[in-house]
Amino acid sequence: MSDIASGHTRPPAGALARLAARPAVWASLAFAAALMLLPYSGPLFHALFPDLPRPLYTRASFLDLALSHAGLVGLASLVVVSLGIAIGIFVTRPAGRDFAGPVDTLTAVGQTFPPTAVLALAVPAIGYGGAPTVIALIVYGLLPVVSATIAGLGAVPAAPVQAADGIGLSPAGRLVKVELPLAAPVILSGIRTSVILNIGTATIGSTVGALTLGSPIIEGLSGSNPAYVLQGALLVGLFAVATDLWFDELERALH
Amino acid sequence: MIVLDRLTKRYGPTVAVDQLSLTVPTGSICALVGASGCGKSTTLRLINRLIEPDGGRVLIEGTDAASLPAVALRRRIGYVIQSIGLFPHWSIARNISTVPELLGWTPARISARVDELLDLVGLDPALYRHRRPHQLSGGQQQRVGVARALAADPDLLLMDEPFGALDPVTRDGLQGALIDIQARTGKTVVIVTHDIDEAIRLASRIAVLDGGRLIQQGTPRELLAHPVNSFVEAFVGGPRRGLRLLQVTPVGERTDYSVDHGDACEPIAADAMLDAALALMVAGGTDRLPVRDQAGRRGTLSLADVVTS
Amino acid sequence: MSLAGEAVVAPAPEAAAPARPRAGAPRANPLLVLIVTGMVVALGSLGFVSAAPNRIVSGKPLALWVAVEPGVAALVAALVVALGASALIRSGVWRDRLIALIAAALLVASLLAAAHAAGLVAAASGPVARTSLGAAFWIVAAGAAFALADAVGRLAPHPLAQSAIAAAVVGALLALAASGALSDLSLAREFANRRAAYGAEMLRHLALVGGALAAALPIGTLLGLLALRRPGWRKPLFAVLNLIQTIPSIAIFGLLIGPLSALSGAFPGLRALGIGGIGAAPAVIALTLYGLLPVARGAFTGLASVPPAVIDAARGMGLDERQILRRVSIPLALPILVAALRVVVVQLTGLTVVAALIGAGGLGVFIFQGLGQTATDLILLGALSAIALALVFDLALRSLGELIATGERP
Repeated sequence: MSDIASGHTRPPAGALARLAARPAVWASLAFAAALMLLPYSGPLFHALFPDLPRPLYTRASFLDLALSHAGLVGLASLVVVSLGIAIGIFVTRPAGRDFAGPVDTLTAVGQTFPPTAVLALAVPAIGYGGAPTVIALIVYGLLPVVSATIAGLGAVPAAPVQAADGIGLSPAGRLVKVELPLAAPVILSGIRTSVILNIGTATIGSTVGALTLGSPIIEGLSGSNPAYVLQGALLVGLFAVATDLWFDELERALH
Repeated sequence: MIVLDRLTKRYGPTVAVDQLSLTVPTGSICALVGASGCGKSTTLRLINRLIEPDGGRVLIEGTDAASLPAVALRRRIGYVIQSIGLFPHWSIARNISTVPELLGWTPARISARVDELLDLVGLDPALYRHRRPHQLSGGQQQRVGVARALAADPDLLLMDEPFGALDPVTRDGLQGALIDIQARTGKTVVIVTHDIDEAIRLASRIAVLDGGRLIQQGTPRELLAHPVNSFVEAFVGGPRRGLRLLQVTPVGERTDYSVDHGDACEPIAADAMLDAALALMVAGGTDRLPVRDQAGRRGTLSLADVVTS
Repeated sequence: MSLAGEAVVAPAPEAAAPARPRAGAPRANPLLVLIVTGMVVALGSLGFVSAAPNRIVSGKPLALWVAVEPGVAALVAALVVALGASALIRSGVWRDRLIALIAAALLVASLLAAAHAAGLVAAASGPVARTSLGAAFWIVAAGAAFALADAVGRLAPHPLAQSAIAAAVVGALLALAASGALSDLSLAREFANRRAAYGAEMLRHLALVGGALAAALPIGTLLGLLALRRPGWRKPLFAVLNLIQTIPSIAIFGLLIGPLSALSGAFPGLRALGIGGIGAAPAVIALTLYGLLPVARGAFTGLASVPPAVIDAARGMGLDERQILRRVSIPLALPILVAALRVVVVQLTGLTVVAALIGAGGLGVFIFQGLGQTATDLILLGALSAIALALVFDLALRSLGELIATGERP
């Protein structure tokens, strides 16, 4: 908390220096640079892979792939976060108590399912393309968020809750002003797990017809073009790492 | 006899134990006292080589501790710590038999020893043998801790604030048990404590440490009567030092055997301490008490004699 | 913070979850009401099976009462109604027993009904016709399985008892499959056509997981010990391991292809050993890298959870470092170590599915073949097998963990 607060009061140069010290910033810049520069890297890949006639992936622009990938994950995450937290809140309220045990069991069992298997199961149910990918991301991504919300709300110490009741907060007020803020770090770590997993699962989504940064990888693997694989892997790796590091920043800001 | 000879331990620039020399006679209880950070625990852990010294020697019955393998040395020395450290996954019996097992005793001998030790520390073997540590109270756990330390019948027992985490009533009971055990077994005991009352009650010799140095050593009475400097004086009680002195001075020393006070009330024993006599006077509203010593001699203790030596 | 790490740090609540007793006054089971309502809606509006003239074209959904003879449809419907009725009676042991019984019967009956429908389709349209399981079937089967699991969870909270019941249910389903009663279903035909390949890929899958474990367990444990002994290394070490987990598996698989094919090109001896850019070598290396974080974190958390006083006492009594580790630290850390093992085995089982994309084989082969051929039942065969394998590992290691925990409690 304190380093954020002090960051505001410092002169701009100091704030910039602090920003530059953040690994998240560097990872994001590296990702952006890779996105911008890869289209011009034909000569480099020609040199690296002299046997390949077309060593640079051109079927779709890397920027489109990244935007589509981020869009799929972002859309799924939006649903996952709102729905997951809502479910987690519901089963920890008196009205939803009956569902707490089964939901807990379901999330524990569901998280043992291989994400790729869940993605594959969406195809018989829905068909090919971006839609089954998003559905699979939502279904699988819900599990860590729901279990983290239940765990986070369950771990709120009794004293502040009793104090909230004591000063006359309504149940809703208690939830918003006391329980959720105290559970926030745990919930955030669940969201982080969900988003990072989904970035990886969306990469496999190109095997079911979604347009993602995994597309060059899959195409490179099936067409024996290691250059495509390298380009896709580099981009998606940077994307995932940058996202994860931003969650680091978010968690630090929360503490 | 345990001899610490110019023992020194440094941690970076700080000297935790500084040229400390101390002799603990066989069969005595020696208390190392001082404020936290004075080096008393470090000194204790230098004796069983949980910490290796940077200088000096520890001689146990004339043998340099450094000449023995550390593990073998520790198996010959009992060790009791404040947080007890019983193995939570083992029964009480197995906890106590740890060192005998390491030493390769026969199961029958170990089993007999476990019962003997549980009896010694005041726990019924039939009741406690098969319990787990978490089923025992803190005081009971520390009784097991003492039994475990005595398992292989070591000649030397090291105790690091053994009763520091216990409530006053339990602590009092365990102190009594320790005095009793020591009297029955004749072990040499080195005990670390920051509680001067505990040291006065248990120890035949007290060593006061400060900043890793030995400031003063002697019997509790010597320390209370003649503190070498203001630090020791403050440590042994400051203005309350006089009250503690009463605890270590026997009634017989102040008794006037030329006057027989008669049997107005039950006479106090001559080897009782003056604090007990004073308490009787206050309770009875009197300034004189009849005294009888072990030989049957009778005398009188007056309030004036309690106060002035 | 990764999924794996979360689970290692907090094994207890997760392990306790299936066993949690339901609190509150005896009353109707709202969850079961919800499940049965879902079943009724599904049976009324969705296909129970779908029939296609051949393997490739997509099928036409058939509702339950169209797909099977009226008696069979009535049996399934009766069981659904009975399950719904049992949800409304007051709670108690006998209600849970009743629910478990009805749910198990419904599970078997719906499978037999689907097989029966497949037999009718085959009789009417010839042997190349395909009958796949429809959405209504899946909803009824999943609902019944969940009702069964929920009731069993309350009847037999002990994971060992749950494992036994799960084994009995799976055994019954396998016996049903082995008897040939299900052989007209498209899923069974896909399996029958690939019986030999299925066994080989299953073994391959297990071998890949086993190979990665064989490397990740010792290396990860050493890293965990390093983190324990050198506090300064702790943060960077776990940051790096966490970063590896962050990178999507397919990207790591892909990134290893280049270096490994260069290596095997430079050293033909490596190629003779089967080490190359694609195949098992990059898969096992990548899986090992993934396994390092849960193993190292488990070893570190487990050993760090041993109270320092216990270690101090052990050392003071004259136990040497190996004896302390063997007799004190490892037994005390065992529940956390087993939880970490469970997490890493389940995670690697799932990730190995992706390894099929780089030619390493395993159950993913069927999934990706099925996706390539738009053969949905082949996708199902691979996906359901991978899920079942992960569940078996999870339940087995959970039971092991519970065994250890009860062994430690008197």
